[in-house]
Amino acid sequence: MRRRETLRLILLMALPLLLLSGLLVASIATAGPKKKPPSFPLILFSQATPDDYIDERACARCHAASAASMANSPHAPYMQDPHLALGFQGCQACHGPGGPHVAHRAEADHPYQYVISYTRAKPAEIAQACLRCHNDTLTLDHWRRTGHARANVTCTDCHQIHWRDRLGKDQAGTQGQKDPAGILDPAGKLARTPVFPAQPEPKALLKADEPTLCGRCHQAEANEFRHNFHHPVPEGRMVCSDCHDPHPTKDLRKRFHTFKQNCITCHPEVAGPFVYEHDPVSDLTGDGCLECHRPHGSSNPRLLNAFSRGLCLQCHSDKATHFTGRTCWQAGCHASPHGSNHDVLFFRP
Amino acid sequence: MRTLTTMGLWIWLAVACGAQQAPAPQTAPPASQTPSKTDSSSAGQAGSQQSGDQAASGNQTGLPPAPGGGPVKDRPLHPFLLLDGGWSNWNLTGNERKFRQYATPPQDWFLKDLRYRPLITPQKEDLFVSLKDIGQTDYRGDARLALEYGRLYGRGFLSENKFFDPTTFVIDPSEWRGYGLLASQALTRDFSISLDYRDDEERLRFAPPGTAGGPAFPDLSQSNHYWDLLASGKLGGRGYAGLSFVDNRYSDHTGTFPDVSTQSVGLSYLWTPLDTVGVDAGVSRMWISEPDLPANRIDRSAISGDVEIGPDTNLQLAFQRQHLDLPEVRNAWVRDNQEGSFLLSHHLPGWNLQVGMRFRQAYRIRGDQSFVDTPHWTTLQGRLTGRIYSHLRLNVRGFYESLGNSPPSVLSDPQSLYWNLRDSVSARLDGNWPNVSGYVTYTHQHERNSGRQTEVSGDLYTVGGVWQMTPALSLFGEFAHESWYGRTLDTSFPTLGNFLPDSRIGVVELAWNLPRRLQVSFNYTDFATYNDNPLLLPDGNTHGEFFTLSGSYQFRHGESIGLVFSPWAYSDAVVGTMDYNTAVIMVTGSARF
Repeated sequence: MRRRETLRLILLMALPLLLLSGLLVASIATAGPKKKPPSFPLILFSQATPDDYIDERACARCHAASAASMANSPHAPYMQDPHLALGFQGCQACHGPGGPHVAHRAEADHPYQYVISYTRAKPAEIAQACLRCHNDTLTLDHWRRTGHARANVTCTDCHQIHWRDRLGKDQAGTQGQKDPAGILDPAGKLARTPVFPAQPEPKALLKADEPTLCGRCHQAEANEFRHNFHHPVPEGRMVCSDCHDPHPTKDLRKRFHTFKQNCITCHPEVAGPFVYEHDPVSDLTGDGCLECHRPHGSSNPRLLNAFSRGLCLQCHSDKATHFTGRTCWQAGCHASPHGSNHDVLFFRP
Repeated sequence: MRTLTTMGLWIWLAVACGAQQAPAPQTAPPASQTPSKTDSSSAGQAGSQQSGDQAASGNQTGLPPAPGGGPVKDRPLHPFLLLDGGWSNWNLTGNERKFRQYATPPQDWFLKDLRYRPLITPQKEDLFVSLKDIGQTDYRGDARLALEYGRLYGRGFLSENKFFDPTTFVIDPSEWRGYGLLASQALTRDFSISLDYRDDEERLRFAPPGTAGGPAFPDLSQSNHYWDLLASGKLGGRGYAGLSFVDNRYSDHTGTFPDVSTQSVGLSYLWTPLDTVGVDAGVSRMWISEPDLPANRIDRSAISGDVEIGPDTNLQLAFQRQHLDLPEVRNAWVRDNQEGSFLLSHHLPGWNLQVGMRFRQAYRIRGDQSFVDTPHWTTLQGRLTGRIYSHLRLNVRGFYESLGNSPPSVLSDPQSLYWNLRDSVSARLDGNWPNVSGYVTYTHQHERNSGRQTEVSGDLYTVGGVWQMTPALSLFGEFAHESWYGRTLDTSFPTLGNFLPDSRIGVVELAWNLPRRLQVSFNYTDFATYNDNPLLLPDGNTHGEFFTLSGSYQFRHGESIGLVFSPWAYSDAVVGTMDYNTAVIMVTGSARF
């Protein structure tokens, strides 16, 4: 029996590796040139000559408001370094060399094949352009593997490069035509939030505070924070990225450096390891914290997925009539349900 | 004391404002004043798809201009100091612990926000500081600093918060205070190192037990010190590497829990030898130690990859293993967790299809190294996304998971405690029209433990939408309802089904932004829980009505005034002493220098 299980284990480990290596070899063997030639927008940079880069003050002639708002963006210092190559400085670092754009500006089918317009480019093109510089946190290959990429969500859906303040008014004092960032979209807004001003400052270049921003697409999750019991996101003690990381490289910490789940970052008292672990819920064999808790919000106290002793009855169904006086952990008995260092029945921590 | 502190801050800020030599906020020169405007007569010929600011002008003749010869001499730079203060009153009657369950709003005079962004060295360094509710029970400070054109970047926060375990008993508040610092240095354009430090101090006070007596869970006074070092970036032609070290030290000053010290190192590498192939691998080792107990060790390894089989088809494979050596744990006999999965994605015209399978296994041995069992879970998952019509998008996903070799319980009843079957299906329909967008979601969840004849299932509905009535006026509404069912072998009252309450949430929000100086929003949120509550416990049959009116008006030079009025009512139909009513009034005013 044990030998069979060991064999199954070895097979389980070996099979994906074999498949992966087989596909890798097959792909390499059948592949043509190792790299595809660059396409738009990277081709703008790869084919540019130094003469194609213009003095960026020329940009401000036509794009005065954008230039002014950019100057006050937290992004600005990164682009003014004179030691950078021309293609990484100022406006042209993001929008491509200005020479072809200017030269073709009068053509009828101009101008968006000679300049990167972030309101018109495709999601993958935007990611390619942004990740020319942001390789220290994320590469294009990382981005392609994210769920956001598969759903055509790209950098500028969340990040606002030309900085605007919270009223949608840019720092140059100009008035926008329409709320370009969608920051006034109410889907993610929560009724409690205005009463608790001590909210964390949105990370640099985000279009809005995280619950509002994420709630524009993840409405069902945003709505869960309206339950009677919820993680304190509406009150500003937490933001979405405390648990979720849209940039997968930073997930390294969360993926590798926690025993059990992310939850113990803020709840270290339940991390253990305990001498007596509550086995199915300890993330060693079951689903960990999610076996009992709904992380966004719940109508039950302590974010539980059932009320009172109903939580325990889901597994311990033989205890339906066992001391029905009160909730199992509040009746003074199983006071330490996450684990105990002293008692196998979790009577005390 | 709090008022004195706030007054002191106001005085300090007044002095600071007086000393501030910031120029008046500059604005971009109006288009009519720029020389380029005179050249814009043929702007319309440049194409009809000009962006908003392009439409202002278009130099047709002199491009590119000679360096230094353009009309825009320098980019405008705006140091600013923003002061936002006000007065607030809770007008609270009823259970204060429930009202302050998660946080404490400001009370009396308070400094809502102080934000300061000075100029250090124009366009080379950047500093931003924000302090909120300083002097109040809850406060928060954030800062960002970029030096040397952003090659050295820092971020930090400082915060304190008081909250309650909601109860009918009079108890002291729980407290949390923490601060964190992050510094990141770019070694090259593609590689950086970062140091993250975080310190949390928390005092948790729990509600005492109820009528059954017995010991309460003891109060805790705990601290957690965390730091990590991460080096990451491009390495090799098409590779990305990450090397990290984490140190975490937990202490409970009450002695309820032992001190726990955790260190771990991790290494990961993403390699994309071809545009169509990527491999991501990582390993880590973690050491966990407690006083007078043998050290624990956890090793993790993971490898995943994806291959583009065709122009519209992608295959992902993943495998991860976790080996646990936890000698101090006596009953959780897992020594190895393995998980393997594949996911096949295919793009059809207008549709995306994903199907996948996951296999997970736990290898369990006792502390004396004797074999126990090997439970394994097999999961089938799928997802279909696409457009039904031009304005309607459908997203359907689901999974089916079964457990094999179910582990027996070591308690009096040997039947397994694990769900041996779980399935879920979820459908979402989104509609988008020029002024209206809406969505409907439905989710069904089901879990079954066949050995114990126990089942739990739930149906969750959400309907919502936004109507942009005018460019300045929008209406948002959403309604969500959850129904839960449960049954088990023992049907004597009270049984499982009596502890699975239904609930609903409704939201209506009207937002008015006119003419971008004035913003007003009305938000009404209503929730209710329908619960058999056979033990007549608090927090089981609740109803909340939260009305929040918030508005602000911004004057021409950046000053603004704001008002928040929030009449909230919370009631518990079983335990009336949990009820509270409040009508928070918050009046604020801000000035910008």
